[in-house]
Amino acid sequence: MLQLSNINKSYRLGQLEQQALFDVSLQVVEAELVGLCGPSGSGKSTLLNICGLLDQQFDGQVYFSGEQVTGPQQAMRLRRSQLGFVFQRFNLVPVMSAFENVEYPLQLNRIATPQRKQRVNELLEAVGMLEHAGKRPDRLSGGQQQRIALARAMVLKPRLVIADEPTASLDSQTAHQVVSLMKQLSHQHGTSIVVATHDDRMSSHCDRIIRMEDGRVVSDKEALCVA
Amino acid sequence: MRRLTQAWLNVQRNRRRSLMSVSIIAIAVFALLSAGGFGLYTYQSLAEASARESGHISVTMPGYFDSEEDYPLQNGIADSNVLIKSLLSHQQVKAVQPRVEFSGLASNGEKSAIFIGQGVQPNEFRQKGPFLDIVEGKLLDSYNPDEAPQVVLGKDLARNLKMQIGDWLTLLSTTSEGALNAYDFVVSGIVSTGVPEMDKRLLYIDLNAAQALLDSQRVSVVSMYFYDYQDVGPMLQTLSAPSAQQTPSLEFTPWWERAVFYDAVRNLYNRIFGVMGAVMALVVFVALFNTLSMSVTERTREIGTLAAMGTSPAEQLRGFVYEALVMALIGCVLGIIANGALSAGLLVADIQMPPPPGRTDGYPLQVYFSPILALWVTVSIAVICAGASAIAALKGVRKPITEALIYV
Ligand SMILES: Nc1ncnc2c1ncn2[C@@H]1O[C@H](COP(=O)(O)OP(=O)(O)OP(=O)(O)O)[C@@H](O)[C@H]1O
Ligand SMILES: [Mg+2]
Repeated sequence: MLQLSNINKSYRLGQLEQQALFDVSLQVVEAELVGLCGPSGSGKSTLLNICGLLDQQFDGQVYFSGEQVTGPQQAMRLRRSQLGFVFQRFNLVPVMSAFENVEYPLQLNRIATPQRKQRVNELLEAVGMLEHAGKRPDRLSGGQQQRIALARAMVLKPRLVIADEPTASLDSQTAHQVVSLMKQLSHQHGTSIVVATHDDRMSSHCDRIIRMEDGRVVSDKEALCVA
Repeated sequence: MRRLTQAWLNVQRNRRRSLMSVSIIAIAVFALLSAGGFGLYTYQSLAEASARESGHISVTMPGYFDSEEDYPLQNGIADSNVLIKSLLSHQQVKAVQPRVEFSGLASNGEKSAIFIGQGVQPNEFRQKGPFLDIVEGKLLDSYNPDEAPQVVLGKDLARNLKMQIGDWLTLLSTTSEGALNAYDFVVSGIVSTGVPEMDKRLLYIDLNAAQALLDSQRVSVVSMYFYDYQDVGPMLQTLSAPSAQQTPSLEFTPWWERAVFYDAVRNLYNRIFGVMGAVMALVVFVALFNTLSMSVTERTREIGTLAAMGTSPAEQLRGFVYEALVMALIGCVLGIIANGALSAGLLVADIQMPPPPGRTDGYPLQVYFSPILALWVTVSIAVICAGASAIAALKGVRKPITEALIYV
């Protein structure tokens, strides 16, 4: 479903050029929860940005559902209709209520109002936030916000969700709830999720673990990630 | 609707800053509307004064205002009574006044002075309303050939010749035949026009007396007065149309072609207001640009998040433009209300302006409230704010998403 081949990526810092990814190739299939582990600075976020079609500045090829992604317009279109994102710091829109935040991707895709309402309510129910639908993010706890963010990422039934350290800002119990929720939704909707994490409890839920070190994939297996 | 609500909520995110922008807009709108309203009031006052002085339309023989006559009333209108009757038949026309313009020498027996005279029908003073300040005595009585003819003098001319009410004054002029003629007049009133240059030379006598002095039945000008000055333009076209031309042909001059002072003031004010408007536009632009730039920078991560979800840059720009428009609208409404209050307050307060250059009298300060001007200012401010916000937001939405997302 998502295929990266021979990705090389380097950042330029003034005169210095620092390579962050070395010849990374990777495939993500339907409905799997992939954990991306590795020490800080190993290139997890860099790789996720490429998987999420947020970054086009690299060498190599990216295919999404068999279609090669070449330009920013195409990437924008795919992100809008096929991708969801969960961020470490939730990134909900503060002037929108929880409901409106979840509704936003549906609006972007011009889904008709009745279906929209129904979808949003379904998702809010699934993440257990129906009763907080009318609240603005600043009145929700971190865990609640992340659940809303998860609902927002899943509301379109996207093919792929990208999550960079989604539990890093949460206490362990809340983190655990959010992770099980992700796994459950992934399997329910047939959505693939790629999660970058430092968190072992997180990785224990994954179907598959990719381990990175210094910009290279060092292991890729259906097993526990040992930090 | 939802976009507007969100724009409104975004405006409230940094209240103090938004309040600042809104205040700047409100002050700019208030200043522009007040200056403009004062200008409109001045234009209208001057227009009324000009039109009262010369009539809304002056009817003359062709070229009367362009060339000097060789002898008095050379280029005068001969059959003024027929003309007056036909002009009065239009129902928009309120009054028609024939007038003889002449000049000569006024003498008290010991001393003479050059005068510029107007021969008018006495009812002209009543019909035109209070355009002269009567310093002493009264205006002309109805003409009576059996009584001594009366003269009304400008106040500086009267002082020059040491004239009091009831004194006798001899007016000398050339007749239309080229002979010298003199009549004695009794001073009935002393007036001031408010323009010292005029008061030094001006005198009024009865139309018939003027015609007798010049030994002619002609008149110089026939002035037309309208009930509604909106009718002046259309009527001017009707009268000047070739089909309406009479023999001998006549010339119709609207008041605005003769209102030199009005034109000069209007040109001056328009330029001043133009510069002021440009400065205000710049101030508003800079203020809004500054506010929106700060908002955009603060919301970099939010912009990145929305972009990640596939929101187009154009859509994001629109959000910021809406936000600026909300502030513009609030500012404009406040500015308009303030202007309305000022306008109403000045009606009550009666504050006097100092006399304009070349005048002796001040006039009441008033500011018109013009809905059309308010609309124009609002639209312009809205365009400026939209532009400023779009430019400010452009920087934010152009940032690469990956950078925007990690911005703190
Ligand atoms: N915007 C950037 N500009 C320059 N160098 C960068 C940038 N982002 C990342 N890097 C560099 O690229 C390498 C990989 O960074 P990346 O953020 O992908 O690591 P990570 O595995 O996500 O780390 P962490 O676990 O701390 O989030 C690091 O050496 C980092 O210094
Ligand atoms: Mg990272």
